[in-house]
Amino acid sequence: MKPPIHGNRRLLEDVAAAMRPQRDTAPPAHEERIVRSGISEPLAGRFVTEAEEAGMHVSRISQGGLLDRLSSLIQSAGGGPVLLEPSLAEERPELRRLPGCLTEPTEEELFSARVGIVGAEAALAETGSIVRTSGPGRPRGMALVPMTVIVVLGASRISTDVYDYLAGRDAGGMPSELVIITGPSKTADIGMRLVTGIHGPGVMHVVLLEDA
Amino acid sequence: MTGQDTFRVRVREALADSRLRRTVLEATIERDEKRREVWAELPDVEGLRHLARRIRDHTLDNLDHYLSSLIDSFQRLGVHVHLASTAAEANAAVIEIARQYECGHAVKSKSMLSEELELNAALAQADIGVTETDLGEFLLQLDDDRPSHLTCPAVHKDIASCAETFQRKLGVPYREDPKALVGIARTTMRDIFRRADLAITGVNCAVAESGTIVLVMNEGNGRFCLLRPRVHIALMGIEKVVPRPADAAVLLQLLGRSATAQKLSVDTHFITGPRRDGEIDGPEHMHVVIVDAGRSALLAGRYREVLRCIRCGACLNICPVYRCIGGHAYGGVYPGPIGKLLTGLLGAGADADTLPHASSLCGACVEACPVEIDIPALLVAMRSDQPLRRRWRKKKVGLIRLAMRLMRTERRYALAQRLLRQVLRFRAKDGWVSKAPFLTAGWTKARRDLPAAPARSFRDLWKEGRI
Repeated sequence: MKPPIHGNRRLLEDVAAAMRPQRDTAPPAHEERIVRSGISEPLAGRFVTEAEEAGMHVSRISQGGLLDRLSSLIQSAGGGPVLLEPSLAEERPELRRLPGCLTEPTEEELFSARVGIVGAEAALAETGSIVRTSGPGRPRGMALVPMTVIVVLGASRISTDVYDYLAGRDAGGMPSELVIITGPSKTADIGMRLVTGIHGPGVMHVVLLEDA
Repeated sequence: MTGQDTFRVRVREALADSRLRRTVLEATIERDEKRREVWAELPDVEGLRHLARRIRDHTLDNLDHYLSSLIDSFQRLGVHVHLASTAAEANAAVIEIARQYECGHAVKSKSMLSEELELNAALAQADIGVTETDLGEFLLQLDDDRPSHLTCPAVHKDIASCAETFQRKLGVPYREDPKALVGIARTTMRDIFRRADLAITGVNCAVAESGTIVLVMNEGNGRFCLLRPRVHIALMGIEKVVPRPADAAVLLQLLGRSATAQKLSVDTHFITGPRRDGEIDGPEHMHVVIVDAGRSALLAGRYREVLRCIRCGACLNICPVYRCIGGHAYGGVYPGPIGKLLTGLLGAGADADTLPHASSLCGACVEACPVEIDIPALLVAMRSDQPLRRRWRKKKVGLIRLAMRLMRTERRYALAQRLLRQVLRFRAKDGWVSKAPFLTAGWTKARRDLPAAPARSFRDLWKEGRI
């Protein structure tokens, strides 16, 4: 059932009345040369450079080393309970062996954990960004609330740039939340000094799996 | 317009505040330089700006179509749409939604439209609490202050002034340490984010084809607003539509770069309807309030191109006037070059008649605008739309007659020039004139010194064959 339109229909009439009789209804064409970044180098290499420039820490490893790598990152973030994204745990059951990991935290646990480990739907090489989508098993909070967020990313998921990614997506298949994350949360509102970790994560690690 | 012209008073105050001037000047110069650097990294920035402009123009050309397609998409997703022709209708809609769900406290992400609507005051009257979650806006809310920049709302406050605010309002020790202050804000805000039952956001653009609203932020506050609260209200002006996701991608490539010199902002956030089956967080109800408030009246006329604006703030950072006086002096909701237009055109502030004159028409803003709005041309149009006041007409005609007389022959011109040079030399002290005479008095009144005239003029040197 469609919800009704509330309020004053006059708005639509006012807009319609302001339209010119002669107008071009075809949207302007997007010239590839202008809208795409035209990255030719290997995507993983460019992604690493840009992600680090955006303030994220990237480690490139093979899948076999994932558990060890995560353990040491958790250690250096201060340990304690760790949030583990359910869909990532399903994809990689070995991660459930991480000590203290929670896939279904209570609200208290969500807000007290120091570390969250999450997957990514895609990544963008030009800007060093991580793309996450909401859905069952992919809650919004795990990549947002803890101070340290670790993203596990398969190298094959890296695409070129924001234009490439959005133009390639089916408009009818957008998730309730899609977020392109480019670095830890930051602010320059106090005296133009850049400080990370304002509301979202202050430390972001990307564990890039070269063979996935 | 009611009230007297208070613009000049505010400008004089701003110019006398050396702390403000230094803070604003440093911040704007830094931002503008960085913007140029990241613009230059694009494969074809001119091509991209032109395309962005054409996308905005095309959308405005067919706004009736795209608005109804956007509304259709929203409805398909179960998003409630509210139409508001005026600010009062928009505020009433927000309050009604809040009451419908019995919301007591709202968290809000930065929205210039909400400033235009004076929404926070309306919410307070309706007994609905609201907390601004962008750090800059939060500081201003504590201070009962107003934003002075589109993307950097507290640019007029230096570290000391932020530290004072925190000490006074949050009862924490005074510390001129941005990192510590940010830590305090993080802790304070977490409790509020968890308690709030309503989220109010703006909209950077809305994609007609998919019913997606796009929010661009750096602090993570936008994502936090849409984590715990049950209800989300998004406020958008009618002009914020784009046709398809790819069109949004074109604007996004320019928005972060122009606003804060980032290739992309930290969080580029796409919201397509409320939480769905099987999801455990995110708002359960989503409402979008689409606001006209003077915009449709601009669609058909000569000022239409102001509706292209994506509120990046690049024209503020480059503007020699903004750099000197900061944002508050403009007195309206929207400061800077674009503000001189919007204040009058949207009726969002006083002194709408004076503001178009507060420009040398130098054109720096056009160079910095990602959607190529010809701000100086529109300022001239606004000036010419004003009835020339009698007092001004008399003065202007007199001045032009005088200039004509002086410039008619070379001898008279040379004589006038020599006279002025002598007067300026006579008035100079240590090579500078700080109080210029007659017609040139305005220059030094604005707290600018004038260099003393040299002993020999260009004409003298030319005559002597030294040039």
